[in-house]
Formats: sequence, C-alpha cells, structure tokens
Amino acid sequence: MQGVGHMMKTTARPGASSLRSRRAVLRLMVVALLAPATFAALPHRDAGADGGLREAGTLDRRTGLDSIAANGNILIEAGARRGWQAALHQGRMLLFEVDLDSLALLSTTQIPELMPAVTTAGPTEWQWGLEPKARRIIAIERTIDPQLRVEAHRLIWIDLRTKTVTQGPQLWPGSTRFPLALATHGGGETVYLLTRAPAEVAGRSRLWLEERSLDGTRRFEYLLDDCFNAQDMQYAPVLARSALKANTVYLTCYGPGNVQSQVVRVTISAAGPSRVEIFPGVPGPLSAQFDPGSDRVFFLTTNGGAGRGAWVFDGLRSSFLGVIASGDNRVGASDYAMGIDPATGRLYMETPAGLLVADARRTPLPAGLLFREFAGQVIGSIHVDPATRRVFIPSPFVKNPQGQSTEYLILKDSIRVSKDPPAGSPDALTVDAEERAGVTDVNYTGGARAFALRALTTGGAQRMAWNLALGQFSPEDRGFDTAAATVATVPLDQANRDLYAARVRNVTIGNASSEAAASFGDADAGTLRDAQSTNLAWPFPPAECRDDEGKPAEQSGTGAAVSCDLAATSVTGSSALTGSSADEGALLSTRGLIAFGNVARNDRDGLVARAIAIVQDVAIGGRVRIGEIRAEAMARAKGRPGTAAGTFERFIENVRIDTDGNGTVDFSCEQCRPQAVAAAIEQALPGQVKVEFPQPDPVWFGGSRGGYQAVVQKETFRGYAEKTLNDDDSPEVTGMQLTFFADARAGRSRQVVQLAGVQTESHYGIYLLGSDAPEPTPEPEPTLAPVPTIAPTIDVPEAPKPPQPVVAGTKTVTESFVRRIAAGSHVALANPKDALLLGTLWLFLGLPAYLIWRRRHVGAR
Amino acid sequence: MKRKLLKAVPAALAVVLLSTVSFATRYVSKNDTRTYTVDAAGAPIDASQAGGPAGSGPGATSGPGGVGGPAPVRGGRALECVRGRNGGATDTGVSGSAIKLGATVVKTGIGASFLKEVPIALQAVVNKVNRGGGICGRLLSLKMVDDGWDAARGQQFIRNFISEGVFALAVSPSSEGLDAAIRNGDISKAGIPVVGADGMLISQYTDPWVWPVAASTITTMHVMAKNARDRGAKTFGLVYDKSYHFGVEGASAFRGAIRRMFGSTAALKADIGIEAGQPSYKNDVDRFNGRCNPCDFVAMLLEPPTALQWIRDGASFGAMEPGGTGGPQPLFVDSFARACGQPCNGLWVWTGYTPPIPPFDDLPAVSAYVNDLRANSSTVDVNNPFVEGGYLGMQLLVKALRQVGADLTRARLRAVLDSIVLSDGLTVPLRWTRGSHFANNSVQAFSVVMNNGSFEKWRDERTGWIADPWVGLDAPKR
Repeated sequence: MQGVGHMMKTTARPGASSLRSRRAVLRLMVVALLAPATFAALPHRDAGADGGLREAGTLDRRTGLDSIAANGNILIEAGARRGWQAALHQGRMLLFEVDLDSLALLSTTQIPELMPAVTTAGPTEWQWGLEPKARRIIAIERTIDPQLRVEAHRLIWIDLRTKTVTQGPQLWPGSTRFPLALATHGGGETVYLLTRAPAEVAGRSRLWLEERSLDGTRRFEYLLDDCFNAQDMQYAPVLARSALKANTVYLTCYGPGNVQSQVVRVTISAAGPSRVEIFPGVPGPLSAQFDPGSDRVFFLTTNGGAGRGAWVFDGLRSSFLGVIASGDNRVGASDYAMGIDPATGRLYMETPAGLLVADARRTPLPAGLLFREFAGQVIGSIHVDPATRRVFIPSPFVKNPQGQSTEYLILKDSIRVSKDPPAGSPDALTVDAEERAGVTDVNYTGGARAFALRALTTGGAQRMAWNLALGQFSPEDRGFDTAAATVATVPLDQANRDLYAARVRNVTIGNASSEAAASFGDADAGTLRDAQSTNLAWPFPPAECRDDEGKPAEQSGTGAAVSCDLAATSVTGSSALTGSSADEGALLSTRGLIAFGNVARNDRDGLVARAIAIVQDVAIGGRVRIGEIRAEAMARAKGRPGTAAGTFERFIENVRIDTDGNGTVDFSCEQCRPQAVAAAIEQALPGQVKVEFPQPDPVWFGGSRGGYQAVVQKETFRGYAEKTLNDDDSPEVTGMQLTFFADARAGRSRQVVQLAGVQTESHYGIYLLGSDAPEPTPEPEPTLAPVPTIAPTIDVPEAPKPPQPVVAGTKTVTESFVRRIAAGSHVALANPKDALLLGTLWLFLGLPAYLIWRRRHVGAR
Repeated sequence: MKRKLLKAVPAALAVVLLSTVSFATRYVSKNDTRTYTVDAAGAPIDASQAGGPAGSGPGATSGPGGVGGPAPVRGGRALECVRGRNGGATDTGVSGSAIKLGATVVKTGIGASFLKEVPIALQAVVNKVNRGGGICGRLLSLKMVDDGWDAARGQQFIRNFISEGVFALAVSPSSEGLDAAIRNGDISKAGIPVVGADGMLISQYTDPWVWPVAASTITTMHVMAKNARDRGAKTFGLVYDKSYHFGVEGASAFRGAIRRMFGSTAALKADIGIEAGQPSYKNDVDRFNGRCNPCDFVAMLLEPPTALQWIRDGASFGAMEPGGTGGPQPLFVDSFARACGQPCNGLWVWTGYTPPIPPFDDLPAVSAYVNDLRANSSTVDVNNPFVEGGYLGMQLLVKALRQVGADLTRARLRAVLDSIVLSDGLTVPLRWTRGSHFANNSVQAFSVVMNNGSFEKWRDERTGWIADPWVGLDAPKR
C-alpha cells in the first residue's frame, strides 16, 4: 500500500502526467513485444501443420467472354509467379496475366493472330503448353480459308515477357489433321503432337504421334494402329514425355472396341518409335492426366463400368495399381473434375460428395480424405500452384445459368503429404551366431498354402447375369442409370464367389503352436452361408488339427488330411482327388487335383516350408488340352547370412491345342514354355480369355541377406492390381491363370481361374541367451520392386519468401527472436485463455520488481 | 531526455530478466521431455519413471533396479539387470532366465473372424524382445491357448494358467473368458496382472489387476451416439448382439447416451437384440425396419458373420449422409467389408487405435508396428484393430517389465502400471492410475469405400480423436 501511495503522490506532480503516460506506453510496448515470446514457451500445436484446406481467394475464369480457351484452364507459371488464362472474345484471343500471389489481373493482351484450334465437332481443348525456362507458351494456331473452308495449323510461340507471338511453319500442308494433344520437351526444343486424321470408319479414326523440332520441322510421324480417338470430343488425351524413363512418351487413346481407354507407351530411338506398348485401361473416362513425378496416368471415370474415381496406371511398373474411388454412387451425381500437384503427386478430385485429396504416389493407393464442405458438381480441370500448394478448383458454388463455374475457388492445402512407410529390416530379428544349447535360442514361424484349382467370380453370378443383359445398352439409354443403380443396390447378390478344389488352406508352425487346415472343396463365406441357409450340409468339411502343447494331432476328411506335431516341428496338409478323365467339351475340366503343404525344421536348413500343387489333364473350351500343370515353392531360413532362400518352379507338360478350331492339333509341346502356351491358348480362344503365368515377388523370393526370412508369394504390385481389378487378395503364385472377361455396364464381372497356386514363408531368428544383446544394424531391405532413380525434372520453384533483413553477426539471434515473437503471438491468438493466464502470472511476478524500482526512483528524488 | 532514458533502463532490465526466466523455463521443460529412450520393442522409456515407485510391493528391499534406477538388493545381494545377477525367481512365474506369460486367444468359433490373427502380434513382440536378450536377462515365454471365444472355457483356461504359475496374462485377447474370470474374482484373488487387454468389456476397466489398452465398447457407443447427434441425427436405431457381452454393454451405453442427450429414449426408435450366428434374421429385420423406416442413424453392434446375415436379410441403414450407420471395432476388418459389398458403402466404424491406413501409415510407430508384424507373417491383416491392440498391449507389458527391472514381482509390476504413461503413437497418450484404468477413452471413425460394388479401402473420416463424454457410465448391471 505504501508503494501505491507513493504512486498516487507522484502522479500529483505538475507535468508528470504526460511523462507517466509515455513511460507506461513504452513499458506496455516492451511487454507487448516480450509477452508473446513467453507465450511461445507454452506447448502448443501448430494449427497450420496439418490444418486441412482453407479458402484462399477466388479468381475469375473469364467465362463472361464468348468462350474460354482450353476449357477455362489456367497455366501456372510458378517460378515467375504468374498465371495465364486465355479466352476468345469477338473473334480475337485475349491473354490474361494474373499475379499468382495477389491474384490481381496484371495485363490483358489481345493476340490477333491467335485462334483456338477447334475440331469439326465444336470448340475443344485449346492445345497449349508452358515452357517455364524460356518463359513462353507453345500453342497451335488454327486458321480457316473462308472460301475453300480449309483449315491450316501452325505452331506459335508466345513470349511471356513481351507478349509477342512468333509463328512457325504450317504443320500439315496439303492434308487435314486435328490436333488432340501437345507436349514439349527439352525446354521446348522438342514438340510432340497427337493428332487424328479425318474419320475413317463410323466417325472414328486412328491417331498419329509426331515429333517436331523447335522450328516445326517434323522428325517423325507414326501411325498408332490400335489407337483411336474418343467419340467424346471433350475428352482430352494425355500426351507427355517421361521425366523418369529415358526416351519414353506416354499417351492415352481408345482401343478398337470403343469401350476402353488405354495407355500407350512409346519408346523412341533416333529413327522414331522403336517400341509401342499398349495397356488396356478403363471404360469411358471423363479425362486423363499424367504425373511427371511418378509416371502415373490417372483416368477419371464416373460410369457404371469403372465406377467413380481415378484409375491409376503406373508406368514404372507397367501395371494398373487400382482406383482412388470417391465412394459416391448416387444417381446423376457424375460431374467430376481432377487435378494433380506436380511437386507432390497429390490428387485433387472435385465430386458431388466432396473434394477428395489423395497422395497418389503412394503404393498401395490411399483412399484419400474427403472434404465434404467443398462438395459440388463441376467439370473442367483443377490446377495447382506447387510453390504455395494452392489449388484452383472450378467453383462448385458460383456458376452461371448454364451451370458453368465462373470462378476458381482457391484453396490453401496445409495437409501433410504422406509417403510410403520405410521398409522394415527383418534381419534385425536374428544374430549371426552359431546355434549352441545354453548359448542361443531361436524364434521361428513358417507357413505354406496350396491349391490345385480356384474359381473366383468377381462381381458374383448376379452381376454377370445383369451384364449379359445390360451390356447391350449404352449408358446414354433412357433408364439405364436407374437400372444400373438398382443392380448396384441389390444386397449381397453381387458378392464374389470364390471356390477352391483341393486346397491346403494353411499349414503354419511357430515356437508355441502348429496348426493346419485342408479341404477338398472350400468356398467363400457367402457361399457357405447360402449352403447353411438352405439347410445343405457343405459336402467337404475341412480337416483341421492343432498342437499347442506337444500333443501330436491329425485328422482326415473327404479328400483331405492334416497332421500337426509341435514337438517334431512338423506340420502337413494335403488334399487330392483323381477322376477317370477330363470332359473334353466343358469350358474347363480336369482329371486330377493335388495340393500339398509342409513346414518342418531340420538341423541343416533350419525351417523349411514347401508347397506343391498339381492339376492333371486340363481341358479348356474344347480346344486346349494340358497334360499337367505343376507349381512348387520352397522357402527356407536358418537365421544366418546366406541361409535364407526361396525357389519356385513351374512345369507345363504335354500341351495340345487346336488353335484355329478345325479339329486338328496345331500346337503341341512336351515340356512347354509358358509364353508360347499363352499365345496359343489366346489364339485358340480369341478375345475370350487372358492367360498369364505370374512370377513370385523378386524382393522376398531370394531370402533376406541376414538369413532371417524367405517368402515365396505373389509379386507385390501384381497383388495390388489383382486386388483392385479382380478383388483377389490371395498371396499364392499360380502355375497358370485364366481370366474370362464379362465386364459390361453393370460393373466388373470376371471369371478368374487359377491353377496350381502355392505360397511359402519361413522366418528364423537366432538370439543369444545370457545378456542383452546389442541390436545389429543390417542394411534395410526394400519391400517394393526397384524403380528407376532418375530424378524428375519438374519446374517446382520454392515458395516466394519475403526479403529478410540481414545484420552481420546478429542474424541468428534476431531471426530467433522474431520467430519467437511470431510464435508467441500465434499462441496468444490461438489460445487466448492461456495467454491471459500467463499475462496475469507475469503481472504478479513483475509487480514487486516494479514497486521496488518505483520506490528507489521516488526515494532518489 | 538522457535522464528519462536512464530511468527507463531498470524497467527494461526487469522485463528482460523476467523474459529470460520464461525462456529458461522453456528449456527446462524441454529437458524434461527429453529423458526418453527407446526400448527393444520400440516404445519410449521414460527414464524419470524407469525406476518405478520406490518401495512398492512386497519383496522390494531397496530400489527397484529397473532401467536407470538404483540397484535393488535382495537377500543381501545387489541385483543387476543382466542374466545371472537378476535375482532369479523373484515371484511366481519368474526365473533367472524366463518370465512365464499366458494368454487365452481365439482361433476358432465366431470370434475368430476378427481375433484369429492377434496371436501373431503377441508373438511378434515376444520375438523382438527375446532377440534383444529379453528383459534383464529373462526371456519372455508366452503360452497361448484357444478358447474359441467361449466364456466358460476361457475362464477355465485362465484358472489353469493361474495354477500353472504364470507370472502374468499378456493381453488375453479372448474377452469373454477373461470377463468371466474377472467377474468371478479369479484374477483379483490370484493377484495376477492382466496387461494390455484389448477385449473392450467394462469389467477390464474396473478390475485393479487389469490394464486395458483398448477404448471400451461403452466408450465407442457413447461417442458414436454423440457424434451422430452432433451431426444432426434425431432418430436412432440399434441392433446388437445379445449373445456376447460386448453387444449387451454397447447397447446399454448407446441407450444411456440417447437418454442423456434427449432426456429419454424416445429418439431410439428401434432397439433390437439378436442371437449371434443365426442362419436368418428376417423376422427381426422386419421388426427393425418397421420401426426404423428409416432412422437417421443406425448403430450396428454386431460381429462380422452376424452383421453380414443381418444386412443380407434386408435391414435398413441410417438415412443420414454421411455416416448414417455406425459399427464397432469388430467390423473394422477387410474380410467383412469385402463380403458385405455395396450395402456397406459409407459405413462408419470406430476404433481407439491409429490404424496403418493413409495418412497415418507412415507415422514411425505405425510403420514399426507393420514391419514387426510382417517379419512374422507376410499375410497377416495389419489393418485389423484387434491385431494392433494385441501388439500395443504387449508393448505396454514389455515397457512395464523393463521399468520394474530385475526385482520383478507382481506387486511391483502393478505399482509401475498404475503410474505408467504409454505414448508411442498408436493411440492417444495413455495413462493408468491407481483406481482408474480407463486409459483409452478416445475413438475415431473410418468409413468403407466401395467402388462399383467392390470394397476398395478404408477412409479416414477426419473426425479426429473424440473423447468419451461419459467415461465409465452406463455399464449394465449383471
């Protein structure tokens, strides 16, 4: 109180009021600056680190003009912080320059020479590309001779600094081509064009690939035989030069059947295309995009055949990886838009259910996150500013009477980009030490699976029946959507059917338990439930055994037997049945089926897992006869370097095929090469069946370096693809696989027949008794197939940063202080309650010091 | 002016001094949080707790002798955390070279559809620990027996373990038998620790000798109901499995939540219990659909085979979009989603774990879990939350054993567990205290994503962790 009294006294001094006010202000300023620094000492969560999506502005899409060029797209020039838009107005092309940071319109340039390339069906994508290093846009100019009604096309270059246009030579003098896609390479030194000629048959024509030099000189043109244009003129195909594979170009087109879009990979040599590979894709995509950082192609689909989402083809592994699905199947909600961040590979998909955000470079593919607050039906493309991670989405909220988005909704993406998790180091579970009683002990687990025959009906019998009916109609037919939706909601009738004959479901053994199960006939849960609900006893009950306590057990059933012996470290399962002969005329028939699995431990090899599957006398479609298909897998491990290994062997014997159906055998072999057999079967049953001979995963197959494990199972990426395409998540490598396709409007419908499937694994870890053994540091082993390590050259500049003041010698301290102040301010704003509490605390703490000072100050007077 | 400036100097100095203090507290606090090391199972060890509570439990003659603590003394000899000097047989089931553990597991019967692979997780942690030399020179010796999710058989097996003299029960994922043993007093009478249980039944949370890692079914149903109400649901339907306690307890919690939120259970239009594993539920489904036609939200408190048949018989789903239908953790398995097909599109399921599903699968703790499992089985379903719960439960046990150290007794283990914190990233940070074993009270939702009628993936529904607002309430009286 004494101090307070002094204060009151002091304030009575003439002229002191303004001085006190100034001091108070000064002190408040100091405290205001320092207080946030103290707030920063509080633990807090940075709301921006994983903060989701937030709105960061809007941008006019220039839809008020006559027509938007390039579907209203905006070219993002991230390095120069510019966005470029184009629109046609009163017969002239306007080029809009936008500041990417402020979103302000900087300039509008009329380019009289420039007209958008159009096709006979009407305006379509204006083909243009950005060359960021040279700061220019490369586009195709189209002119029409009004008298002769002849179109002419030229390459043009727009210098983005001066906004001037340079014209190249005419592209196709004397003939008519329609450009579909344009891509550049090498700083614009090389230009690729995908074009189509005038319609050849029923409005469709094959496509050409061209490579030209900067001055327009054609280096090669190549007719893509099995590559057709889409009938949907709004569909913009992909054309891109790979940044990861040398001399490789990816493009998309339709196949001859006019149903499926496909990926085409062209390898280019000095003389032109040296290799053309076609990968059948998905029916009726809306659009396709390419990710330069992963060589992945994304097909956006919203139809009954492919579902709704982005189907993903991985160019590095030459395989479809699956689909990033929206999960939305409401009738009529089928307008989607898609875009990719070239820096991170993040996929953005605007759907009526929400904005889907997925890290599309992941393997396996993720489901993504759905932001329902941005749901809406839009068409067009999504664009990404990779430097600031801002996403330009045709707004689902602001549209003109025609339903067209009139502005971009710009979202700032602060979601953490997830990556494939690091591979484990299985050899960390063993030490390189000789096994000795009382010095070491072991942990081991092993397993084997085998089946002779498997029939997987993807989509179930119900969908297959519907496909046969619906497959004749087009999605545009009246009532199709309703019918398809009805099919899609029939409960469980579309569930897959999965039947096995001669199956060793599993034989496994570990330190503490052993178990085995085998049956001659096995089925999926739905089929077993059907049997149960109709009071039918399943005719093939499994033989099962378990030994957890050193009491050997065995059991035999109809065509199956198992035995478990923990003490002897051995477990076995088998199933077999042989008949008199195969039925020649049946779609598929066999005479003998055998499956065998065993895991046992021995002193020499450690834990050894074996699986054998045999199918004898196979008849397919009345024209193919195979004497025997046999697959054998073995995995062994003994816990020391060089002791883990796997083997896989496939035997195809005595094959006779009537390839042309004239009743005579024109392909035969005794010990047969798989690829020759596949080609002969596909020739004998053209268009009906796909024949494959899968290989085991090469990474696990050879065994881990330290000897801990060996695994023989389906190749990992094949597993991802089959899980997506066929709902097949089985681990077995098959001796032969036949896929009969019945895909149609009701969805995927396939009959997958697998013959002679085997899988084995062995894990064996040695550990020391006696003391805490140090952890070894083995080299980590990749879990994924190796991919090329060429770094992509993508123009992704750093995000713009404000200029930083630099003071020699004090930079770090100053920056640290500024950061602390900023962080503290953030806490103060984010958590006012804590801020208030802390402020109060400091007031209490500071009050005595202040009073002492005041006392001395006044006393000194 | 100069004088004025001089006068301001003390004030500025004072503020700078105080500010410095605040910086200092920041660094002190930082040092506090840096006293963790990582144990062989990958879990962080809090060295400040590594010694365990001093003097707790019988047989503790001096310090606990855990990792980083002062050396304990037993019989006049100082114990060390190495084989040969660890005190030997310090308690039931403990020898100088091994710690005997038991677990009732489910490999057969209806519960096998989601519990069958949990033993792989338990064994994976055991292998890893033993490979690192065990704990203070003692290897883990885990015996697992299959009780088929049968309460009576499970209880008998637990009694067998007790009479055989195992030191502790590790996880014991077969919840029905464990529930029976708890309720009959077998666990407390024997004073046998049950560590890392993930059976989700309420009895596990109230027994002082059980330390569960899972969020209880009651918590799940509380959160499910409240989340639906918060999203706008006004009418509710409930179908539950009355054959097993998880269904009965969950139903009670759901009713309690509705009553608490709406003042009565009038909003619960349908409330139907069904027997598990029946070939048909058509009559029950008709009753349900007659009352829920449709309801805004439907809670499907069933295990997978029963749920599949229920759906197949035409039961209605919740009308609310999204997430009109919610399911408990047992439905969070790929095999269920795949078998269900299109009807399950958009079904929300709730779990108390962080599953290895993007965007969480690259988190260090989650990827370590996956790699540890894969090193023991290349085909195990790592997405199955019960498998993850088994792994986490074993990690809790290992962490606690390490903290107890050489002088291992049940009482000392109990004391450590009653103050331990587990924050390895697979859940929200978990803390058990004496008198409260409700450590995990938060769950989050994931949804089934179908494409064209086929199961694709699970999707994080971005609910984040939602804490149970009524922890421990609504347990049914038995």
